[in-house]
Amino acid sequence: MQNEMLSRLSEWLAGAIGGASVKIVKLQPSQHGSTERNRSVLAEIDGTSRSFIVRKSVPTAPFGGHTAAEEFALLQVAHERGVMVPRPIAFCDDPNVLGSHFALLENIAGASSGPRVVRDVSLGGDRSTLAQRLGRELAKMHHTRPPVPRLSFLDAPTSSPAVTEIERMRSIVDRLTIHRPALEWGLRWAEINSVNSERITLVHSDFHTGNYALDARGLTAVLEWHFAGWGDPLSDLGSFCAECWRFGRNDLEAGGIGERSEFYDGYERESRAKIDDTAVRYWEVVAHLRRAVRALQMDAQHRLDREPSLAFALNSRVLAEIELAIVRATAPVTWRTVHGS
Amino acid sequence: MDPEISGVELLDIAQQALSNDIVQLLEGDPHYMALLIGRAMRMVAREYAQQERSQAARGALLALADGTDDDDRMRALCRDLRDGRHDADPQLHTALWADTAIRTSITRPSLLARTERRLAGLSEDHQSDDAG
Repeated sequence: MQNEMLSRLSEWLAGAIGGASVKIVKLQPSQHGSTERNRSVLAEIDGTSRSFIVRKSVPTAPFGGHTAAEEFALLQVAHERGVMVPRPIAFCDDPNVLGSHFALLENIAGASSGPRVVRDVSLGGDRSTLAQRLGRELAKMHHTRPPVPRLSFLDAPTSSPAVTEIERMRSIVDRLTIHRPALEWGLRWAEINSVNSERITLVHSDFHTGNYALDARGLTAVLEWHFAGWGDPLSDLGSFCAECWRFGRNDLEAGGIGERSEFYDGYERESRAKIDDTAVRYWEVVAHLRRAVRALQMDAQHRLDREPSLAFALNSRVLAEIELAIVRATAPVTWRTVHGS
Repeated sequence: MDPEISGVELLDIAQQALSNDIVQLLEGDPHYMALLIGRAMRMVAREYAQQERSQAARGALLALADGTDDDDRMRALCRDLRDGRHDADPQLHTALWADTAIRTSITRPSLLARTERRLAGLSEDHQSDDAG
């Protein structure tokens, strides 16, 4: 069975990249991202070893997110615009090869696990430089404005991404028939305090420590593009700085790896735009709301169709700390209605 | 003195045996799984210890809504929040803070600030044990 699959993959790969002699040496779970989606492939092509990532389509309905084909198009656009991503090589729309559609990407070196990235300072090179670099990469991504014909599958941009995002999260909560007062409190705060978006650009929508890879020298790729879309670029800065994505290093406000000022500096140099810090801090609260809603979705999915998993069960308990962070950040004095600000 | 040890004490001893005697013998996925099991055991012990405080905090929160039972009050509270009937309500904010802080004292006490530790009945120098 495995041999047949490897043979089909070899044949497809030969056609996709034009190699005369292709042999798959190894196909195994990738160390980056979901093991359900990602496989690492080691191949010998015309006598040269090359390694790739195979990123498969998986049912995404409960979580939303793009198909592998859509994500491949996003990676192509990002790559062409100079953002450091795994280089997109080819897309296979024949489900007979690996059982589902998949994207073939160039393999990337390094580690991406959030806790490891934060703790292991042998990764990423100089951390101050890294924080600036991540700001620059994000700004490069934000140079892309709608419309882009190849990204026509993205939802049309709205004039108020904050309000759209709150409506999206409320509809998920309603669909799950879940009643969480701390979450509702936070969503209402976000509605009342919603910011006006001055620019609409391509946004990653899940840009945080854990979703980029580092080797000993620095950044090797920005990963996990399946929630990217048109939105307020400052939402990505908020996500990166949000406390819930600092993995315990709350003193390092830029993703647990650097100073906020360093990250902002890299972003401002590349974008040539001054960052509205108040708006970024608004989006940090929204990032916590997103993470809470995502945890609820994962929990619901886990209960529906998986064998009991301790990791998933523990993940559902992360809600307490996220909700505490939301409540701390939204004290009555911060509500716009009361103070008319 | 009751010669039988309590369930919480038993859980604590089992967790210590796992952490001190078993985890170090394992590598790779089994090592990671053993760490997760230890974390789950510590969480259960803390949940048991915080039962009264946890119920009191949840009761104070639900007292701010009308309803025939707790589920009904929870639904009503969430609806009222969304409809703007509790905007910037300091009493509700305090109740939410207490409820989430006590729940966090069960799942990850190291995240609590000093005032929250006091609220959760933890000593200020409490060494939380939620790694792994």
